[in-house]
Amino acid sequence: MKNEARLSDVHPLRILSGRRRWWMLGIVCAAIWAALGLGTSPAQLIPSGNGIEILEEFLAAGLTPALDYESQVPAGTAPLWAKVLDALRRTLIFAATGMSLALAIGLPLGVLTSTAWWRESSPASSWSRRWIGRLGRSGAFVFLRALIAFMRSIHELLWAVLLLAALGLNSFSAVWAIAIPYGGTLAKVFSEMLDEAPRDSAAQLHDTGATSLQVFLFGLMPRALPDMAAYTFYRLECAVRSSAVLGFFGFPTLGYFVKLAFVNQHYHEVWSYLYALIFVVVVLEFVSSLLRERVVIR
Amino acid sequence: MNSSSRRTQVEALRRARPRSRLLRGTVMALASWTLYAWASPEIALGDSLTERRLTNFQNFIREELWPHALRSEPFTFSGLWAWGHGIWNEVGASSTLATLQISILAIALSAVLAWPLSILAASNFATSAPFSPEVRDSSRGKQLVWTAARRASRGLAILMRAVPEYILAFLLLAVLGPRTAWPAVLALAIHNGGILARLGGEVVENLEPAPVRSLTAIGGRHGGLVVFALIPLTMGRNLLYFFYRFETCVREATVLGMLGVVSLGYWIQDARSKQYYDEMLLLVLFGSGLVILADLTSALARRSVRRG
Amino acid sequence: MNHSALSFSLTEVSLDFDGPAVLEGLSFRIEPGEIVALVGPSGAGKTSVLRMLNGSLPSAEGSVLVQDQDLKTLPTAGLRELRSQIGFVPQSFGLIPNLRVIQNVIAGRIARMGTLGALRAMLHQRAAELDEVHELLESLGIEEKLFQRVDSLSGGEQQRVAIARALYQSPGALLADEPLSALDPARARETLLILVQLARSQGLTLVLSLHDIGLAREMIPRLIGLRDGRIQFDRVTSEIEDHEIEALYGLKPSLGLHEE
Repeated sequence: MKNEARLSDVHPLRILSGRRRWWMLGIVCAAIWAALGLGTSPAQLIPSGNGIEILEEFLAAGLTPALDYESQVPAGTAPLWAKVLDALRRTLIFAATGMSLALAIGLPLGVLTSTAWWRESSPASSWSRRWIGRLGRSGAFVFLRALIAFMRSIHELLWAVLLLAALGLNSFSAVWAIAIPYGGTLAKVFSEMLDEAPRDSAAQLHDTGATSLQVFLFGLMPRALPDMAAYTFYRLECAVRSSAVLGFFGFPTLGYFVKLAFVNQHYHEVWSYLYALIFVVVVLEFVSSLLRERVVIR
Repeated sequence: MNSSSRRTQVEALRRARPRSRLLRGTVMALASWTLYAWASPEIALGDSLTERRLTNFQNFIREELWPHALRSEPFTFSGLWAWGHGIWNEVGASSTLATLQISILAIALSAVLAWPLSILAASNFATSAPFSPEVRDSSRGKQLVWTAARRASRGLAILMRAVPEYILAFLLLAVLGPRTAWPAVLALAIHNGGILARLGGEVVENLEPAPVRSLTAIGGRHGGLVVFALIPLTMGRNLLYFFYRFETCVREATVLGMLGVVSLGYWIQDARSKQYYDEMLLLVLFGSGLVILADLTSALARRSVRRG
Repeated sequence: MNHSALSFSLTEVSLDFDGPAVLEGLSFRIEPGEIVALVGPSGAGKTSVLRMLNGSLPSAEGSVLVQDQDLKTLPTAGLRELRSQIGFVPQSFGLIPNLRVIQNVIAGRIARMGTLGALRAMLHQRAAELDEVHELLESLGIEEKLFQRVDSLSGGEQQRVAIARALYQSPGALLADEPLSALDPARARETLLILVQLARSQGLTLVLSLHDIGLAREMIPRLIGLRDGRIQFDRVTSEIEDHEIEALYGLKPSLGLHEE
């Protein structure tokens, strides 16, 4: 990301200039209003009752994650590490299926909600047909924009809750719970990236007599593609987290076992699952930063 | 040049073409994992669409989602309005407000957490000679301290963002109890703090060194740089990221209530456990409305900040 | 499978962008296979003239005829067909920096392929296509770059890729806006020579704008001198006198010129 800083910006008073000052002031006021409204005070941050014991015990357990079960298990139970790996595998399965479905939804919707797409599509020849076309197009545009806003305005866990109520506990609910809001988010971000992509190569392709569809696909899309891929990768990381949390609603992902182990006060086991999740997220983040360094920016 | 020698030349050029093994490997790995995932027995889509499930689904859409107040009477808009208004007055308004307040407090706190981390994580600032990569005269001890600080703040930020808000809130709830909104606020603040720290660190690292170096040239050191260069130069972008995360904070705040904090999620969970699905859907839609409003505010704020 | 050479003719063409006129009352005709350079100081309207010739900039007044077809009355499909016969090298190259040279050159011909065919050509090139592009790049001295990413190339190399793409279109006319701007003097002379020879051997119409008046006088048979959107001269190069060139660039301002 390029920074638009210039020498003229370097003045300590710049921080207090322009609209930024009002937004800063607004944020501080809003935060105070929120704290008063919620009735939260820092004093409440001191754990009460057995809270402090739980905290100490739990944090201490972080240094020694469990390598084996903390309680007696029936003979023949798979070892803990196998269970952790299996939970991780299921987490990644829901993340990958949900994310690929989200991409299948988000890419076409993103294209259709970019203003670039509607600009590139060719105008009809006659005057009246052009106006009917324009009305129809703007109607479709507004409808699709509203649709993606709605899709992502509902959190994936709430989609999960709705789908669970409608369809019961099965993989279908988990996959769609991720795919719907993520599809909406991808669509929104893709459309912005397509609109912000440089247009010079598209204009050039237009000059060679290419059709509007060709200009969009081969002149504009390639310019936005690196950013779109990087963002998709980042969302995959988010999908892994979401998939883990879906376990709290009964799906057999990491969250399910975290909840179970925590309720049974097997804090060392909790950390084993948490470290598995953290490991995957860190690896994904590392790969994505490497990719951005070596491939996208040259 | 004859055609066969041209062909061998083209072939040689093709073999020597620059390729990123990393990119290739990542794409292959992701593609094969996705294929495996769809084929795995865990994703039994045929199983999902049994006749019983489909009947249940129809039932759910036709009856259970239908507003309770209207089930025994013919449909009227006034009846629908009275039902919705009742729920809004009873729990909707107060919990929507609480959701908003939780997210505002959380995002403000996360900015406070993220700011020092982001500065300490930036490799061009957190060294003994900030913004002057060519300076090599400082002591080894100083360098070690800065490197340690940089590593620690990066590691902390990674840990903060690697654990999902929901799990954090679940853990904090056990420690702090459900009486206050703190578990939700802290969970959101920690996770988003980790994300804002990374984004903010990138802003510092992408700073054009020239304007900052005019300050190091006249003897500015870390403290001076923060006040006179970093704050003014990074403020705009940090505000953009702040509002961008605020939007997601509102979404998350809705959900965290399901753990027992009084946001919309609490009542959603309540309706769910009572199997009042009509009420549950309405509450979800209240949340959706709030998110869309926050989305618009955030877009407005970002546009305004961009303009200066 | 080259297109036959195109003719262009402008009649009383004017253009303004809500301000002082960019072009005023331009008229000239370029015969098929002719080689013409537009010369003049920057801001004279050279780029606008070139963009009018391929129909990407509509004229406010007057008519632009290509192959005796009026661009204003031509339907979209006809305009597209005509454009596919005109190679255009813009000043900014208009390349796709994150794709390889081969894909950028191939893109020159996708207008004649259909969308699926174009997708195939962009993702996987046939041996014959590779050979053709290689030969084209060889004539421009950059065949080694065939599979390199465009953003790893120097400005001069990118400029030649843009020329290669326009030539790969097998056009009936090549319009080039300052095609030598990013090249060093030796390379500029060589490239211009290549363009002129190519135009001669393939019989295509070549219209370029050049800032290097020396090269233009040396190699281009006909020059159109533009200043402030008006034609100062339009003649066979050998008949143009030094003082006309000096007046064109304002070295010896001749005041009477604008009062007509």
